[in-house]
Amino acid sequence: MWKIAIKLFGLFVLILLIETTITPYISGFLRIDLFLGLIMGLVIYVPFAYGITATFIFSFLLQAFSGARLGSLPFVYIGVYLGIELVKGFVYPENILVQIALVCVFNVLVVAITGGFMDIWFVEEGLCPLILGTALTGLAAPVMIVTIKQLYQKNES
Amino acid sequence: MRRKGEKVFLVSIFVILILIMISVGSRRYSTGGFDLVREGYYWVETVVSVPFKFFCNIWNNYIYLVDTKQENALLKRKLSSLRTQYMCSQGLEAENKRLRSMLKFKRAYHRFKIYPASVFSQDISRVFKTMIIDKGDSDGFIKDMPIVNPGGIVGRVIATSPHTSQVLLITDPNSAIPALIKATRVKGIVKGGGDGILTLEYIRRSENLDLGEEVVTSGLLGIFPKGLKIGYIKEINRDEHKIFAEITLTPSVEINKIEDVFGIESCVEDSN
Repeated sequence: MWKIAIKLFGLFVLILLIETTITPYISGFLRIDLFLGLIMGLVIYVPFAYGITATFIFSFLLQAFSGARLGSLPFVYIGVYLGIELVKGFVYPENILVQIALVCVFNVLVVAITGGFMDIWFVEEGLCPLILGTALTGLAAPVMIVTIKQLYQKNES
Repeated sequence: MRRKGEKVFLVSIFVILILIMISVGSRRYSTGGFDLVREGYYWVETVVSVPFKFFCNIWNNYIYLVDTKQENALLKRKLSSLRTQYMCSQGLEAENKRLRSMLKFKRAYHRFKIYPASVFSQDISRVFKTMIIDKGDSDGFIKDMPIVNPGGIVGRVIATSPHTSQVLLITDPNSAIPALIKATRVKGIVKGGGDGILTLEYIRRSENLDLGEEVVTSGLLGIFPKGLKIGYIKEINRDEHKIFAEITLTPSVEINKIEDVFGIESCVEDSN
């Protein structure tokens, strides 16, 4: 289990590099939440106990790179984890289109909820960055999910 | 059934942990643990960028050498060299312009100790507006240090580690700066809108205001020195049923395009 934990941590650091350094370099307005894809991959392929623990630890570490109030990011992302876990029973989560759609929906929810904490209506920032960010987040999700699948299946074998 | 029990148990533990975090969140910004995380990340980013730059150099040099083997490529190379020079000179010109404005700024604020830094990374969430700079407490950056650039005020330091500092930008919804309208000296509070704009609050509806008026720091509370540019009035709404006018500002700094910033030591006059 340590191997998969280290690999997941490596993936988390990569996501961090992309989200905090590379994406802002490309566009200051664009925010692609690769972490949502990672969470979805954890829900689908990793046992619940490990998946939710990883989500909690990673979202807690994300606090170091955000001005969000302590505990709010774990709250939001554990909520996303449980939400996807719940929805998993009604849809086929291994379908790419389902993955994209689910991640897009949860991305908008995350923005709305974190905005709600601060009494900010997220559309004020402009619809274009939100739509583009959501679309790219959705499109990136299958890549993250496949990566988790590969990591976990290699570890299992 | 047992699995379900386990799930409920785990979820309960995490919910309790989150509630504890939120309830101790009165110290709302990063603690020592987070500083360690950022410091670790700083070194990871530095290490990752080294091989990346190395491979970029190999690639560029290889292409360059292949071109030299062909006689016909000589002219192309000269042309591309000239083009590159032109592009470089454009880049240098822009850099020169930027450095000149920074120098001008440094001269204008010679009364303060100024610490230069570069932006290292930006906030991971869409709503909150913070950034991390590549200088920390070992470079003289301290908590609550004002961060500015030649355009005006950028934010303030909320956490430091030896080589990094986290900066709360003026556009963050948690940011509030005592300010005044430069022309009329009317005082108010500038708050971050979280959406790239600022709001000027507690200005009476009856005050005489014009669009485009400059808003500067008032120097109250002692965090930000007096007279630093914050932004310009973009919109004024005077609702008859409200005591205060609703004023929107455009920040004087293009927050999304910041590359270099200065930390200024608040209210400390340089002996020189």
